Amino acid sequence: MRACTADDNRVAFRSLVLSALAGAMGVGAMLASTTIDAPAQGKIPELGSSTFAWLAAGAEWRAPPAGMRGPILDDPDHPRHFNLDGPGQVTQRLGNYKDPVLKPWAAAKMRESNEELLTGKRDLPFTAQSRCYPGGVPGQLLYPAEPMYFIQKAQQVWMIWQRDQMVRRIYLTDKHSAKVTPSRFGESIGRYENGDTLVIDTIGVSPHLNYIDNFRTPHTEKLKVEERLKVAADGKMIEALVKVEDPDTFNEPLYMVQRWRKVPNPLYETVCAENNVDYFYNNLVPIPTAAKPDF
Amino acid sequence: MKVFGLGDRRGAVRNCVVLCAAALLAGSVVAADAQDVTGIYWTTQYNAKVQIVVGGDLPLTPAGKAAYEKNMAGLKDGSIVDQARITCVPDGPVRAWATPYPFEIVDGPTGNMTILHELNHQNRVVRMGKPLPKYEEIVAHPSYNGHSVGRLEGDTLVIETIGFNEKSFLDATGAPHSDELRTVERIRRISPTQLEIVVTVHDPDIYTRDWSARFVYNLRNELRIEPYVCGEPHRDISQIPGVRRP
Repeated sequence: MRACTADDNRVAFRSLVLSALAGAMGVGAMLASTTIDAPAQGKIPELGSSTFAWLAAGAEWRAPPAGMRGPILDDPDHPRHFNLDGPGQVTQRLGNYKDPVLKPWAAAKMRESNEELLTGKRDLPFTAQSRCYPGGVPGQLLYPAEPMYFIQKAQQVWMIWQRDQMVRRIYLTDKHSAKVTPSRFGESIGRYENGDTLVIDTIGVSPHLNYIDNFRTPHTEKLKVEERLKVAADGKMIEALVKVEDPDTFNEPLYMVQRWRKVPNPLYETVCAENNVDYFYNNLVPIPTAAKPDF
Repeated sequence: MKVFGLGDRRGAVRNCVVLCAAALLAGSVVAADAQDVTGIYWTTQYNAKVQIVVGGDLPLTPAGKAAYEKNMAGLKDGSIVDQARITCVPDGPVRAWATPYPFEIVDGPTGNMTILHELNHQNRVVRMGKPLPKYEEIVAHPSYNGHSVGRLEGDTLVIETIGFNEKSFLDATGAPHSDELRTVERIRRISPTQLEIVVTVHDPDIYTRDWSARFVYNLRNELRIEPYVCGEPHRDISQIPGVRRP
């Protein structure tokens, strides 16, 4: 290994600036595309392909249409300084645990998580996908760095994330199972609407290390999620309007939006557990590890 | 890594013996009516050690023998960690088919076949009707599952794969392979309710000749593939013959 030189730093900075500009342009283009017209009836949205995938616009929920109760936001006492906010120390995601939508137990959990970061007990907060856990529903939708893929068949839709090969299955039926055992992605049933939208209804999501956002907003087993994934008229973007209900966690339903843009990426193998070590002593949540072989 | 065709370095006659034996064995059961290979499958048997179609031991080269002995000793004394079982990285070639957990074969998205395993939530993309990539195109990106292309030969899905990394074992005992490994998998229904997969291994650095392993699974479309998180409780596999919980 050779030492880093001033030239290296200049090149790295130039790359960073170019990447940031490219990213900002991409996000800007997506933000500008606020009108999504429905395609012709009698079709289903073209989500799955071997030639394209979908890349999320970011790791934050966007605001829903006016009049709907939106997502949990940053703690106003600790405004976040993000990567694209210019010079200054980047800060961590500290959710607004004082949001009145939260039940007391959920607020306490979020406050505790924030305190871990503010006191230095943990330098980086838990995010499921960076620690090789499934991101849950709807949290998995916020994974931004690698594309998402679909397979669409008559009775089922598969959502596949390149990241760690995570797979969600959506059964195209109108009824949930009589008994649903809580699991990482719960039980999802779905249907197509208007030729451009996949509507997914999910219950049975395990609350263990599962959050609805990257603020570590928790939920209980009563969580019910409706995702409406609508493909833009030009086919180049998906917008999801997500409704989250959990009467034991939230005083009213939350509505949140995520977007993806179409990218020409084939699915590559990404293995999260490889070299995923706490190199900088950040007291990261350990990755899933078996104490002994399963069989 | 160089990419070789089957038998480029070891003689077509020996390849033919292996492949013919595999074909004869496969042909010993009544061929199914024309049906596709998609569906959810669950094995009928688990073997920690890979079983060669013609029987006998793995035909190891001196380098292969040394690698196997090193792997077995390391797995026994703990100096080598079986990452596929401890941190749940993909099982990789051959070993993935020995899974005691269900998997599914999906005809899609258009142009691909996709193989989704419950164990370690592994997935494989098989690009149908495409040629294998050139050596230069894959040498920088070796992976557990390699680069797979497929074609249909009658009722049989034939998958050729190259571009493996060297981080996996071919079985749970530590059977080695190099990044020159090339596999040919022949997947077909042998009855309306059973699937057969015959994997032929070509790895001239490690094995003196090509060899094949055969796996049989029951069609279990009533199952749902479940999430799999390392170290957490999983589906009960105790009824699979050969499975031993440590």
